[in-house]
Amino acid sequence: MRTLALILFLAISACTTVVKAQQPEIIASCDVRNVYVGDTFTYKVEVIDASTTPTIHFPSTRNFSIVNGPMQSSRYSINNGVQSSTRGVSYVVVALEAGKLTIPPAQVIIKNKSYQSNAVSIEVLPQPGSTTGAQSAQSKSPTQKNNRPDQSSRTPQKASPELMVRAEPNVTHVVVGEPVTITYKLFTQVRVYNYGIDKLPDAVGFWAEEIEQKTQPQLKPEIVEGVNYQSAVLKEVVYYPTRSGELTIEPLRINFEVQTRKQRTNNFFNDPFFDDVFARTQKVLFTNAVKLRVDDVPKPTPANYTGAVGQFQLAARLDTNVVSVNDAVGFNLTLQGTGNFKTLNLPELKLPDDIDMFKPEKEEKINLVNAAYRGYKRMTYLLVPRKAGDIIIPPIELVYYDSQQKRYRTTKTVPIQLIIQPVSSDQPLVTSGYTRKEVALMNRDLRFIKLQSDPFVRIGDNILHKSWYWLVFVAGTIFIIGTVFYEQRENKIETNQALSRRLKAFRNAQQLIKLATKAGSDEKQVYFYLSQALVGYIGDSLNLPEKSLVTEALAEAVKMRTNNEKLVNELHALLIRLDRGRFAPGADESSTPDLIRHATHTIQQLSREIK
Amino acid sequence: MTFPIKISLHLILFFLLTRTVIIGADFQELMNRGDAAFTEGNFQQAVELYTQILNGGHTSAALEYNLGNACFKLDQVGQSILHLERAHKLSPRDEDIQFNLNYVKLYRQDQLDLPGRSALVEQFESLRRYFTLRELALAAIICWVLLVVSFVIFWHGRGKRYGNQAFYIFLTATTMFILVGGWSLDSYRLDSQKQIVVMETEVQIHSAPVETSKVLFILHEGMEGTVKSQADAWYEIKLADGKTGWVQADAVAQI
Repeated sequence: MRTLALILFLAISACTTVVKAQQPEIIASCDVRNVYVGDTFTYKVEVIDASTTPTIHFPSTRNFSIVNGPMQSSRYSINNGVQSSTRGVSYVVVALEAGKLTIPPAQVIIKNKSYQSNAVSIEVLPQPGSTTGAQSAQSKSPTQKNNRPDQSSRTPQKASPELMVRAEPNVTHVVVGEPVTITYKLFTQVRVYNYGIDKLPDAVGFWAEEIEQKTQPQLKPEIVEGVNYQSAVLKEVVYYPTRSGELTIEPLRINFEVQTRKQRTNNFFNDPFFDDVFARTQKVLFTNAVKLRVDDVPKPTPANYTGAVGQFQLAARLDTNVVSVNDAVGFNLTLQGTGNFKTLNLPELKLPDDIDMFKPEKEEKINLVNAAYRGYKRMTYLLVPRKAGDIIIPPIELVYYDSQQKRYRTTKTVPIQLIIQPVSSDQPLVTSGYTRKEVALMNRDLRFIKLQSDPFVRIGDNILHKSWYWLVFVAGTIFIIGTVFYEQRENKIETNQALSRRLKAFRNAQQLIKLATKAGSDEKQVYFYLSQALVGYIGDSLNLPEKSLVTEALAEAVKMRTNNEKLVNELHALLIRLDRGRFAPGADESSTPDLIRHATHTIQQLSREIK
Repeated sequence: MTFPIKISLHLILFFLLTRTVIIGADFQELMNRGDAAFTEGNFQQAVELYTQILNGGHTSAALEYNLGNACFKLDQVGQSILHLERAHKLSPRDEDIQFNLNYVKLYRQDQLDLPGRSALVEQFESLRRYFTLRELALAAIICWVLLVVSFVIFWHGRGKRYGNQAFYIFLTATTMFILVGGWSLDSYRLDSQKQIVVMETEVQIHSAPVETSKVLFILHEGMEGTVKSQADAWYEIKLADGKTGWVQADAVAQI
């Protein structure tokens, strides 16, 4: 059994060696051998002959921090006819500590398989002139830069005390709840183009609030340990400790873009006219960490202590001490002083039920004076007494911890008397000089309901969603278009005589036949009208001149326009009959209604035949 | 040619009169009973009676106003503001409704710090809501009919005296129609904006439409806002002072 296990183990290890042998070539490297603390360098992991871009996990290490990246790159080269490709990922990294440091192997994942790169060691030198590792507040004269240990052209650009940042707390010993203001300041001897702060540092046990900087940082000359600097406040943050102990606010990381002088080379083109002497360089600086001693407020805490720390004074005031029932009176409660205003609530006002109290208006004016919050918080209540009588507004208390005298103190208001007079009908209403819009509403109640109902409507009814509404617009549009066309047609008829006659022909004939029907027994008249109707109709329809309106000519004209011989003959016969009837009444034996029907029929037939 | 006008006039009359009259008869009695209950101080019963009418799918400015008052008497500030706002929407020039709405708003817990607006803007805003959509839409129709009639007269009498006079009426009617029409569309847009009132005593406003997201602020009963967008059972609301956040839809009611 043991031998079997041994064989199995050997086999497995042999397999892994085979796999390892197939591992692609992975090279991790840095572009420099040694850097100064706080300076950036490039860390690169390359995979040779990789077909896909590898996924690389930057080794987790406390000594280095990524400033920029990952950035992917690929390179192809043909060497002696052998093609090779390299894919890589690079990071811009900053060293945080001095010493001989090692970047542990990076995990490289290629096609779901995990490999490891080599470890890279790098020598991190402390900032020149600085004895501590982290960027400290100490400074050095810039003349010392010539003594810097590494002068090779590949060294990091001037790591310098030319540029430094500091975190300066206004106090270092506070109690819980007492604000600490930390000012982050820049000291520089070079030109700074730009700076950026990613996020506030970790501050466990604090509640942080940034103070908005109203303007761009202004540079001011300042001497630090005998060296001239330009200084500027980059950020101000107020920290409220929420628990006690030795608390630390971690260093704040600030990225800078600064002006640096380029290394001169013996280049032919090394001419100030052609070459830009200055370059822009990225730099990452860390401030010092801030250690604070936070004490608990002394135990036991008073029962009604709500966390106020500082020096406060509470004051209350009524607009007037004498009011009438239903008359509004203003009540001011003001908390004034220095301390943790932002996290503080004013004590509640408790009043008898006979006084209506409206939601207070809040007003606060808090300024940062000498790194401490100073100002006041004010609540203005509007009170409306509903019953007459004397009322004492009880004292209002606030317990706070005095951070200077190191003990609890209580500030309270004095009791205030309010005399409420009954309203007599003839007494004019006395208002307390309040200008709030609510005052108008104060001494009244809700207006009474409406007993006359207006018509009910369907919920969600919308007139614009009704089809009839839009129909009116459509109808109007049609009406307008219709009018325009109608008028145009009328115009055309007026200007065109032939058309006008033709259009009027049938109507005229109809009118004449109507007259004939009316004439009834008067045979002569009937014959006359019928003859007029027929002759007029043919004349108008064919636009014949007046003089050619004789029987023969008419029959001839109709014959030209139609193939209906029978109709022409009938027409001819009818015209002759009518002529005869007109001039020799009694000759025709047919009755007048028959004749009228006959004539009407003929005109109708004609209207169909001659177009 | 007068056929379309006759038809549309008949239609207008039909829709304006017949429908409301027929419906009104059914609910007037409920309304009277509700008013009586209110007058006797029996607010709970009044609320129930008024609500019956609303459940029947009908409303009126007076009904919403009375219901809003009854809710206020029962200390339901949210309901009261909801119904008074609806009444105000139905009858924007009614002073009683405006008065009671302002009065009830004093009793809600949140008071916003609104940026001061100039008197001119204030006046413009109140003018904008001076007429209801219905009134504006009917005015637009009247302008339209006037426009059509004056155009027909003008076109028929071109070159004649009455034609020229009709042309001026036509121009006036057209201008009026464009103004009133535009105003109605603006009013329509205002009406279609979803307004909400917070109905629960306290409601959390989240940063995203998810229960676990960060709570931005807290609103109390009666606070109003405009709905910007909707996701499932969440509304993204905007307050008058510009704050926005997500609120669960069942915690609010739509005006």
